[in-house]
Amino acid sequence: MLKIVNGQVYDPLNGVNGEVREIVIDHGMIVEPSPDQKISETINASGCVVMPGGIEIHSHIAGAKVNSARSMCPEDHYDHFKVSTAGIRSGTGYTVPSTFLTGYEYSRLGYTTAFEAAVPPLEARHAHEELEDTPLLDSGIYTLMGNNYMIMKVLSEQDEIGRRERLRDLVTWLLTSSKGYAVKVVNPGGVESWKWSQGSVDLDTRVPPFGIAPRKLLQELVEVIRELKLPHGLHLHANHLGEAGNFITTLETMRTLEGYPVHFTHLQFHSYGMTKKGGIRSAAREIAEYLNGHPEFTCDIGQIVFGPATTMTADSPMQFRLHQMTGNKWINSDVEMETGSGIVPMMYRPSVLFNAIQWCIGLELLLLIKNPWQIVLTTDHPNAGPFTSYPQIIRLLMDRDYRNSVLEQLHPKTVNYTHLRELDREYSLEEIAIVTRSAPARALGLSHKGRLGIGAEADVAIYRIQDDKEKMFAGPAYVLKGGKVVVRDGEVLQSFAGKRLIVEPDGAKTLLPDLARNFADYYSIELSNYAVQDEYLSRPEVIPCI
Amino acid sequence: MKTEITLRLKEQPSIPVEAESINPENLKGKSLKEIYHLPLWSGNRRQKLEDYFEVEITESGGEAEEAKVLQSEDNLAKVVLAGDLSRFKRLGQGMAAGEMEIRGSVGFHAGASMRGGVLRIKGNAADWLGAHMEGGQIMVEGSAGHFVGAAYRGKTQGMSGGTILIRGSAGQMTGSRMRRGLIAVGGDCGDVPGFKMLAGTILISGACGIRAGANMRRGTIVLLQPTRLLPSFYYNCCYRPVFWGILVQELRQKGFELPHADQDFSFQRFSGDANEGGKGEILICQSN
Ligand SMILES: [Zn+2]
Repeated sequence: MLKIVNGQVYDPLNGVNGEVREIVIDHGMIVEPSPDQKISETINASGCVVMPGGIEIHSHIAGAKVNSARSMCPEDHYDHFKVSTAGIRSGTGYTVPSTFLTGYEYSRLGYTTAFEAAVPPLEARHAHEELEDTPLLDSGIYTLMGNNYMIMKVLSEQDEIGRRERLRDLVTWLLTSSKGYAVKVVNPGGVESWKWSQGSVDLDTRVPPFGIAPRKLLQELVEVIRELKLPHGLHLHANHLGEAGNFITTLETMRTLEGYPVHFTHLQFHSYGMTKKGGIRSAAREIAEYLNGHPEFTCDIGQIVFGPATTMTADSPMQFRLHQMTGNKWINSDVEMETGSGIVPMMYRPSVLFNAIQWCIGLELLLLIKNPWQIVLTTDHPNAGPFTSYPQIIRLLMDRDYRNSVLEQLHPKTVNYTHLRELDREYSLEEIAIVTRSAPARALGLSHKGRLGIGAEADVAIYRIQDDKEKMFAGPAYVLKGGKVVVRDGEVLQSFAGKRLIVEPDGAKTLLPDLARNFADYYSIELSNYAVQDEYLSRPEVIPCI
Repeated sequence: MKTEITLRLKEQPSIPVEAESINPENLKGKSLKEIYHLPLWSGNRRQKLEDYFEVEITESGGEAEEAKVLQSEDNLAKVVLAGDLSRFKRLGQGMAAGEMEIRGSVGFHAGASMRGGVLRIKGNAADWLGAHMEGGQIMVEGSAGHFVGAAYRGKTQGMSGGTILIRGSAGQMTGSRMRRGLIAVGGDCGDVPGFKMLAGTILISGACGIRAGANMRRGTIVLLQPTRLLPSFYYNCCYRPVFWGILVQELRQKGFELPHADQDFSFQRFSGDANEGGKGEILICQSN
């Protein structure tokens, strides 16, 4: 048994806010302290805060596009490498670290769970293989369905009851074949439209070949997700990412899905107003105001970090635009019947007005959305910046003077298009614990995570209290994964595989026969080779659909 | 008085050796013992300089000698390496001052990221000679491999200053993505010299491979032999550029003679690459 003593505990789900508590750990779980326990190891956490392990709700860390970005960007690797030490492997990469390094780097920040945010079912095996080699993290993948041929085909059927049932079976089959955790939609209909050489789509644009409108696709998917009682709602990357004036579409999408559990991802990229000249301005107020009245919705930010980034998304038309705009190198992929994908490396600069406004919008959302339980800190890693920048963002949230000093270094016109300078709010440690741990745990339906009460998994991060919050959160004194000390003073001590979180919803386990014929006709592989075999997951854990 | 440190290769290693620790500044003020203990990586093994070299430190006097020695102001010893060093990589990498002479051939990355000083190679150089070079001078008596003065994979800018003079031939992608500086090739050059070049000058005396200057933004490629250009280069005029005479003189001063070059040569000027704005130029000698 291991005991953590003298630490100021932050456990928002149990209403513990900085009080000194003892935490006793046995067999990877937090247990009730009692006098007759045999304690083999005691961690003295005096002068430290004790929080649940961090939970990454949206990040691109494993699979085909991530690996393509690694080979596409050798420049990301030359200056960033880790030499192997006893039991710890070497690795390279800054914005797109290699698999083992990704696990170590998350762990060194006190994160113990992470979800890969966009996996086409066809590439799921690759994503799971990489996650097997991404240690010290419990992980899962979100399965892409927003531009899937079979989904759109089913949606085009007339018989409403039959259609709903068939969609439920298809979603179940896609989730279980890919061993996914949640339903992900990226630019609904927009990628398929682009593949037919057509323009970008609005909610009511009819998308070939079946004439399905994105609004209908979203409405039917959220209904199915609710019926299947998936632990995480629809994980949605809305239409028109990065375009001036897109907040209108974002708000319209939110209104369409009112009352359903939906997670709006990297909302910063979807909160742009339009200036008279067609540039972007902050529409964070409009978006935040709406969310403040709709507690059923959650979001994450996708906060811009100045410096290098690697954009990678299933939103291939958006990536094509970015490539044309920046002239930077570009990979495009057409993932058969399922989606597209694109990669473009980027550099966010404080002197570039567009980037400076983006940076402000992310922070504005974080400061204007009142309920921290609705919001999760992310950089949409590595799209808006690497996850290793989280400590810096935490400082920006907790330290207004620091925030304003950075704001002063941005393009001088930034203040004309943003509200950040007017915002005085500073996050408390409790609020930081919520937006990095407890809120994502709740949004993901992970009842044993994001908290430190009895029965919780013993994923714990212990940070030394410091005035400089960036330093404080960049180098935890201790990190425990499943009750084992894996990081001490910022150094990784041991490496082992985490669990893979999956769902088993109540629906069909085989593909509908008529769709199986489509599959045989159009896919490049056999149906029997499609589903990810159980052998690919060494430590699966089924999160119940209740 | 001038100190000379001579490193004689004992025998050629069977696998490549990472030799970036051998340069004039790093040897400065070190005793013979300290020099023998300098680290050299070979594969995944850390070895010592004494495993490969015999070292001799000599003081050479005479004012006549001294006058010939370049850049002795910071009192750096001249470093001489003797033997076939084609399995030694990164010799002179990052050097910023002093003089290093290699009596033999060298491996990859010689003089890469070099910032100053002089690196003389009496034999041949392998790929990535002077990659990302910022200043100083490299002289190669023999030939050089591919990617002379180029940018490493994924980097957007290669050589940004300094001079690379190659008496023999050079391989492919010479001066790829270079930003500033001069590369002169006495012999032939492989395909796509000056690929995506941003500025600077490349002179090729012998035959040139295909697609010279593909994707070049700015900069100058001078070709003394006729060649076929990409269709995205267009003819401007025939003229006698003033800079040509200055360049020939400067090269001569540096001991780089162009066998048949005349200061009064006239050139056909082509603009390109039109796909990238057409601000670069290729000059093809008319008088040869
Ligand atoms: Zn994303």
